[in-house]
Amino acid sequence: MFGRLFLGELKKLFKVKTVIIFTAFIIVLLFIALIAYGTDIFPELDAKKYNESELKNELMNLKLTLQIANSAGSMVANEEKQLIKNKILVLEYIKENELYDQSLHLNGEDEQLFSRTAETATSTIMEILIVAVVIYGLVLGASAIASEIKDGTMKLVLLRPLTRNQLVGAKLLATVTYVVAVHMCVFILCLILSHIVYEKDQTKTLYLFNSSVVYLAPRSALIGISYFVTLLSLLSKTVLAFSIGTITRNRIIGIAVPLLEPILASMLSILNTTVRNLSFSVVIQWFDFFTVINTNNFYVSFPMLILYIGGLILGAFIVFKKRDIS
Amino acid sequence: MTEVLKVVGLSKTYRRRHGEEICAVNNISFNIYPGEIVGFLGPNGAGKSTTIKMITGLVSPTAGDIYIMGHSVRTEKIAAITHVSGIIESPDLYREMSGYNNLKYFARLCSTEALKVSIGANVQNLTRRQLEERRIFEVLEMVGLSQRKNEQVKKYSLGMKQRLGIAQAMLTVPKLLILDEPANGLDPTGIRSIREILKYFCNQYNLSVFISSHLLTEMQLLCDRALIISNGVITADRNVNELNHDAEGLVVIKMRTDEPMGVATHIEKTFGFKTNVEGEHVRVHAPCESISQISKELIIAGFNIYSLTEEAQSLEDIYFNSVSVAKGFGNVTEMNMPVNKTTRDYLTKDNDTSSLAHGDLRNIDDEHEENV
Repeated sequence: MFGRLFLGELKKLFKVKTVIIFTAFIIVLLFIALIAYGTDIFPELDAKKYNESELKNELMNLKLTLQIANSAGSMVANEEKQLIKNKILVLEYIKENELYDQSLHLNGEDEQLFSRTAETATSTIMEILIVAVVIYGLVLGASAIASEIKDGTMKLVLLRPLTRNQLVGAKLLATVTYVVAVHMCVFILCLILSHIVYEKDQTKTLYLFNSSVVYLAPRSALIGISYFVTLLSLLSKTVLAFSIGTITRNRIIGIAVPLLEPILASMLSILNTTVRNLSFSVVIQWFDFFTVINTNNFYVSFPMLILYIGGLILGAFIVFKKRDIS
Repeated sequence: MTEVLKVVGLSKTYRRRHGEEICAVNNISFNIYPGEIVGFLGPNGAGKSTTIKMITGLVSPTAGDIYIMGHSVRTEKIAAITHVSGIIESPDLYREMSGYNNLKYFARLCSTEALKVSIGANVQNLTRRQLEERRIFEVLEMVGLSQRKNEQVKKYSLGMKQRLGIAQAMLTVPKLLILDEPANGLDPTGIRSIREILKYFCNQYNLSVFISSHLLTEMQLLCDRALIISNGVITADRNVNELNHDAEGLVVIKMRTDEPMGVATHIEKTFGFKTNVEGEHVRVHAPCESISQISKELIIAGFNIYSLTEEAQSLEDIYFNSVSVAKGFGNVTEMNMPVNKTTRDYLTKDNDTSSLAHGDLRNIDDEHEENV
């Protein structure tokens, strides 16, 4: 029964008219992004080559700066100190592994590189396109149950021999599957067009994870990172919209809450409010996959995010099971 | 006989924000037996929809329980709901999807066994997909929507939506079909069409039907039994086929004669039946089988009988009586009784029947109000 229900929900989500409009919108956005990417809006930075003495000097300067930042009475923010630490980690990795005179990209938090290659184009343009996909995901997620209750179709569905948990589970799974498919299609389109317009990057990149581990990998790893970061961000937002929409039975609230989240985060980040050295903007980041992946406290923020999303899903199941459908 | 639906002491109380409690349904109990069509009547806000939603498990009761084919809706919901199908409030189907795709979606939610039972013979070699297709084709034929199955539901008329709703409900043959206001907003052709479809399904599958409506004459034509609910309480449970019987199970025969007193006295002496006289009419409370004996006896005795009819109460009379009693207005018949009494007084006073035309009843009413 669950399988049939899931398939039915999936087919219901596939509305030809909506798909055509969305595809047309994505293609237009993709071309605009590709044109913009070729302009100075995205400044081009080349890969770096370090020699031994240059590296030692830069390391020494950075360590001195950190020492001053850590000294009493320093006004340097925690985030800035973390950036310095990250850079030190990356440079020490180069020193230890003697990666001198090689073309390297540093994919730490201190460098935003836009060398006009297929990999960076895919990653950067996908970050623009994901906004449209997330909005589509929010609408689907928030409408999944709230709209059916409002339209009255839920009453007919619940007259079939299935539990409410099965229904919520099938709808959630179908929505998630559908947005994953949409994301994959958009990503593949973006990947193909980026590779048509730009050439592949042969250089290697140093990737810093959780401000503690450095990996040396080909530039194409950026495509994988971009895929998973945008996908997880999309999923977290869709599930959030689904849960809020189901709990409140209101589609608009379901869409608005996940949209307001980054607005609130950026407002708090402007205010730079801190309590006991903990920035509110960092706390807000814990609730978003997009920033969780890049944060310097992954092993705290990731479980926090999972708990947050899990709690909301559980809430949606409990509320839908207990409340009357009138 | 085993009940298809058994409602025991069912209550539903809603609590408002400021703590006020509203009792939508108050301790109601009733049963529905196999093959029975039961009309559920009541004014707006009487508790009909709440009761239906509790039966279908959409709303949880505050007290009491509902058993469908012996399964409690509270504790064995899936087992109970398997035997139920229907439309609640309005046939809300997916507007953007075609009629066929709507049925396809709902057919997916039916068990394979239920589909096989619904189709009947020669289904053993059919795949699940073929079973769904065949049943959808059958129900579309039954409700007469085969020609327009590929149109979007939003383009359907209300009558078509109702028919599609019934088709959806009949994808698997339920033991109990629940219909909440199926004829609401339909024109006479649409109402008749729904009635004929329902009668067809009832004859074909021996369904029990629980149907709520405001259309009293329609319910009288369709139902075997009528349950009337008012202010959350069941105020009447009457067999529609026996509406012509009085409280003692006797029929009321109304006859017009030129010697009403003589006729009344003769019947009372000969048969011992209760009579009452109203103008030139005599009402006799007698068993149904005595009608021919009475008429023969009166003709032999030499009385002139100009008309003889069996007086039946309509469902409307019962409805208004029940509803007004529940609302504390007293019995409507009793309310009307003074009109008759005034009529009698009027006749007695003037011994003139010419002003008894229907148009004069308003004057009599006014006079009665002045007396009150």
